[in-house]
Amino acid sequence: MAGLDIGYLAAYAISLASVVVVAFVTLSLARKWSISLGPGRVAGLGRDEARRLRTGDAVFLMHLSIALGVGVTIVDAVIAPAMAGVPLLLDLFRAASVPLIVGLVVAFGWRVQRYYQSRRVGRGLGVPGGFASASTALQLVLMAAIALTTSELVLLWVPTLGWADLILDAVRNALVAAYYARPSVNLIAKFDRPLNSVSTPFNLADVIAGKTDPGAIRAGVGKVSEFSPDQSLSFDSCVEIGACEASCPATAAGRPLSPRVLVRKLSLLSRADGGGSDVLTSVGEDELWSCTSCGACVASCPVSVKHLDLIYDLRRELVSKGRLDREKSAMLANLAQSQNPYGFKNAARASWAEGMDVDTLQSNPKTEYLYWVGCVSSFDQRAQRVARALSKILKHAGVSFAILGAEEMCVGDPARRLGEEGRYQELVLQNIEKLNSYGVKKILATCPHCFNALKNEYPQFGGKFEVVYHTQLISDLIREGKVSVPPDKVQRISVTLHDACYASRYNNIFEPPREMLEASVDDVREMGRRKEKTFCCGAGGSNYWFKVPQQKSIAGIRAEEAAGTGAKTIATECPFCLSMLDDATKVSGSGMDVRDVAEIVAECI
Amino acid sequence: MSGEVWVYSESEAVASEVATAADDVAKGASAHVRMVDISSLRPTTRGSGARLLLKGPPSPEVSPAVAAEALARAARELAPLAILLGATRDGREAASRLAAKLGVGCMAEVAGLASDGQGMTGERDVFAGKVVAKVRCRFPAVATVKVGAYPRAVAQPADAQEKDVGPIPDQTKTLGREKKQAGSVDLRSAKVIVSAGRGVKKKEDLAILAELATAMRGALGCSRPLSSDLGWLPEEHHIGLTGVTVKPDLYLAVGISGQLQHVAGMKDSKIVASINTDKDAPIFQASDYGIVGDLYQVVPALRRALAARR
Repeated sequence: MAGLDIGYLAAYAISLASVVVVAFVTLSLARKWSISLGPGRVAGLGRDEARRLRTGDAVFLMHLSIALGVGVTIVDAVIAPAMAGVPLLLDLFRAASVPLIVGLVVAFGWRVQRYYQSRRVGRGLGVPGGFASASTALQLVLMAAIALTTSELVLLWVPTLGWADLILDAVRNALVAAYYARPSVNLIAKFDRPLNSVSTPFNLADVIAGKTDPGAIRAGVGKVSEFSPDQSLSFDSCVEIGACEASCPATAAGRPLSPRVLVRKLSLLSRADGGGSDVLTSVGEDELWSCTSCGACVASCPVSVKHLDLIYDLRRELVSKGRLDREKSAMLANLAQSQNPYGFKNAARASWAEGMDVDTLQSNPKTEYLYWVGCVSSFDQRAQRVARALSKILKHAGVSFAILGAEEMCVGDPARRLGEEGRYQELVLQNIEKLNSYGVKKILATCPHCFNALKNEYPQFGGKFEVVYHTQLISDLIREGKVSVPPDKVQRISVTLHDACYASRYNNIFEPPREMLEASVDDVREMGRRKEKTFCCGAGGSNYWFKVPQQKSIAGIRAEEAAGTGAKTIATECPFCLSMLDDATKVSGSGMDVRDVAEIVAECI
Repeated sequence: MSGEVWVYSESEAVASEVATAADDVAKGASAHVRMVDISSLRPTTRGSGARLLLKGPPSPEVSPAVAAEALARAARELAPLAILLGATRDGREAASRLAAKLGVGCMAEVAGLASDGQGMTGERDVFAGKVVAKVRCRFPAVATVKVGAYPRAVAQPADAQEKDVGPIPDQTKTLGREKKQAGSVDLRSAKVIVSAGRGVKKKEDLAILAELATAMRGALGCSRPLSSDLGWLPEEHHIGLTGVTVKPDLYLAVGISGQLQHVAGMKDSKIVASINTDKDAPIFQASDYGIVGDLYQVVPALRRALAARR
């Protein structure tokens, strides 16, 4: 312990005090939001971070470098006096510092690049000057935190400057306490909340049963102060990392939306006047309609901000105020009158099955699966071929299934994503009643929007079914040998798979469609953005039914990426993606063929 | 006093239709019809019965807000049983303002009007024309009469009574008028639509479809990629879910594959015919007639055939 002088001891004391402040601030924030920071939660977070590490996401690696860098330097500072006497310990820290320094330097570079991107996006959106400077300030704080942490790690190699290291630590810890305690708490609270969970402002069944006073229902948020504590923790946790903006298809298409800007606007608005002013004076209608609900923002956010939760509540406000244009209100009117969003007659729903000997539940209620066809495959002549392809496969494999035919209705997803929660729940309750009346146990879906609603949302309303996606069932059949492609039937084509957001990112279905392709074509190519990082086709979040101003089409961007693989065919797994990419390839003139994975397999048997 | 049924529309042609409807109401209520003009007497008189000229509001252009105020002032004094307006864009606005000012009921866009002396009944299309609702309103009442639902009343000589309602400041000011760009279309009222899809190889080729549309006395529409993505035609030509919904007598889809996005916007057309090179194109399933062939051969042939029939 020789060589300790007063200056060093003072620096150590300051550093130690800063650690105590970080701990105190974090704990009191957690108490304020009633969030458990117990060892179970923290261990769970660790496992989740490890999982995300395996996905190899670059933004996440940077986030991890920063988090671990901060952690390592804090430990180093706390045990600093002991370090001098134990050379092995110092060697250990030095070894750990190398990858962290690399990660932090890359993170710093990424930050600088994001800063320029965010300025560009801000100019495109016409954000006010006050917003831009607040945004710059927060990004500078982040850069400072990275720079300080990096310097601390570098100083591990210069032991003579030990006291300087401690002072840097204290400054950095002050920044952490002021800016990063909240996002840390938010992360611990929400890291394991699934992307497919949607807030439910009221329960229609309770209203019908008289358990809820309809007059007390408030769907939507008009003032920032009306957001729930959970939601305000979300927008107050944003530290302008910009991962959401970098992955957002709406931003990429030059639509008037950046998830980062939206979230920060809400945060600044809540501080400006206690959150009492009308959100819609700061947030534009098209800004909200631009969202395709693809979930890339939520999935990429390293601190678990839940952007979609905020957007849905603001859309609900627009709906309750009747701020809907002709296309949106026509879609809702069609749902009300025809129980499908297009206004077709449900009597024609089974027309795709003519001549295919497909049972309806009415004629054969004892089948294993109900095939929930969905509105697109019922009415879109192109998507009907997907339904026929699936039927061919199921019949080939001897799987017993039936459809609802004319009795099928919209699952409700377009209404919910648009913000019409009432119409959504109305459809849900009617559907559950019908499904239960037939004693349905297992449901098979070819549309990931139907699949997601039936699987993840219906249980909350009392509809408990085993729901299977068509790619899951078909890949199982292939694995079990019930569907096999003879070698001479394997298609000699190059195919790239476009993952549907609601199948992949929302429901972690990654391998089944790939297994289908591996079995049926000889050349499978991957796009850079795939699996949980897939890029939207532009139709989700009800965007199929309306237009928002944009510079490029989202589907066009994706079709270009697909063409970049050199593949001649785009394989889809969702009827909306099929339609959007089909249009986009026609526009680009790339001549790429777009087919559902089920069609590709069906052609081989 | 014996009751009166007033008729007002900013359009003379519509006013004469509304007059016919007013006759039906007056008959049931044993009332008289009175044609109301504001600011200036119309040069010709159509419709039955007497006329009332409301003087005072700015002339010559009477905005719906001013018309509503003038009618309200006169009505408070003269107490007509009912005031019928044409369900034009201006008429709808004027009627709702008028009913609110008078605190009376307003029946919107009605036809089949009748009266039992206490009030009037009318029929209106609801749920996009799938259902006809019969509505009733007690006198005094305001209604807008569906345009095109009644024949025009025959012109009759009439004595004009004048009434000064005082000056009414117009809160709105017309800053200027701009003509719609050339080639602007109203697809919703077109009887024949020729619609272009991605089968058209380049923008210049749209000319042959525009010519065909003109020869068929129809309008030119298109599918989403052409307007939204390629920008070959203005958005107002875009037929589909995210564009205009049309129901012409004849819909000719040229080089359109027939995605739901498009079909949902034209499914209610009376006759659908389509031209596509791909015999499996989904559009054929939504068509009454189909031609499998290259539009660059079929369209000129159609043009020649139409010319030969002239």
